[in-house]
Amino acid sequence: MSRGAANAHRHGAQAQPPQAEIYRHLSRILGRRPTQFDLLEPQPDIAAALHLADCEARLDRAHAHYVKMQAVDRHREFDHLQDQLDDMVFFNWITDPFKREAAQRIMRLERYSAHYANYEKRLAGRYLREAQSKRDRALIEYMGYV
Amino acid sequence: MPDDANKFSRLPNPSRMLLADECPEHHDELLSEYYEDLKPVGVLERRQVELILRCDIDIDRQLRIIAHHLNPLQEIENRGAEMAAEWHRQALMHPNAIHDSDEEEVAPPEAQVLPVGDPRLTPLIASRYAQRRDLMSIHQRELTSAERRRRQAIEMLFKMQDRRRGREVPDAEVVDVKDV
Repeated sequence: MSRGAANAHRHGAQAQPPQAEIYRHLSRILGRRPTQFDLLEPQPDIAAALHLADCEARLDRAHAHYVKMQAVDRHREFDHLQDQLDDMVFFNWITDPFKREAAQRIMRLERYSAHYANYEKRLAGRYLREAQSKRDRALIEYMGYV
Repeated sequence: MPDDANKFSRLPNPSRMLLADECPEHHDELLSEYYEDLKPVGVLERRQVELILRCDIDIDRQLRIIAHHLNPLQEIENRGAEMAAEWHRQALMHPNAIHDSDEEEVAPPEAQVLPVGDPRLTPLIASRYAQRRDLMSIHQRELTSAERRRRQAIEMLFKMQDRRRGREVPDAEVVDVKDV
């Protein structure tokens, strides 16, 4: 696994969901609170339920991220950079023509903001499709024990 | 809302899955109607119904977003160009004029109403589509994907319900041939 991919699994939309959320799904699936014994040495049906609960929690997280990204049309960090540059120019107008030209060119990089926002939007859709696919497989596996 | 909705399938905070222009109460009403219509039994079936509802909401959302982006009267935001234009405007202004311009209030632009069913808007909409082709392709893909997810979720729900009904059917009774 590359460093970037590992980072996405630790911190991003694909990160491990909180245990409380997995247990909440597990309690719903089993119809009771899981015991310590269930979790320490799970039988095949409990293991399948645990896997399904994990996939459900991941699906919820991926869906929440996907919904959040639908309203994003611009890259937040690029906007922040533009705002900072605007403040810098406003409070101290750059007299050096080369620096002024550089500032104006940065302002013209508008399309990159949309490009990265689209990239993140596309990625969120992919995460959702992957999470849904894993969850469906886990459900089919669990159905074999019910 | 069904009595057991809060116990099993419904998420504690459905607004996590909704945009600002989507109402959680409307989500709950729809969920209740879906429960009545599809009659799920058990946790897994109820969860499946909830996922079908999510897909339906997503399809509606994607269509709404596409329509919004194709609105020919909507101005395309270009913050960088606006900021650069403002720099030039202020650089050419007299210092006193800059001070006066800071004090005057800028009125918000009036909302433009889109005429319904006007075929003269078609070229403008096509032009807007060409300008936002990348974005349109993403939303159209998500729309197709949501429709596929919905179809699969319904299929899965029907399989689960068939399986449940099949389990309820009593085993065939072996009848002695001589008795017939």
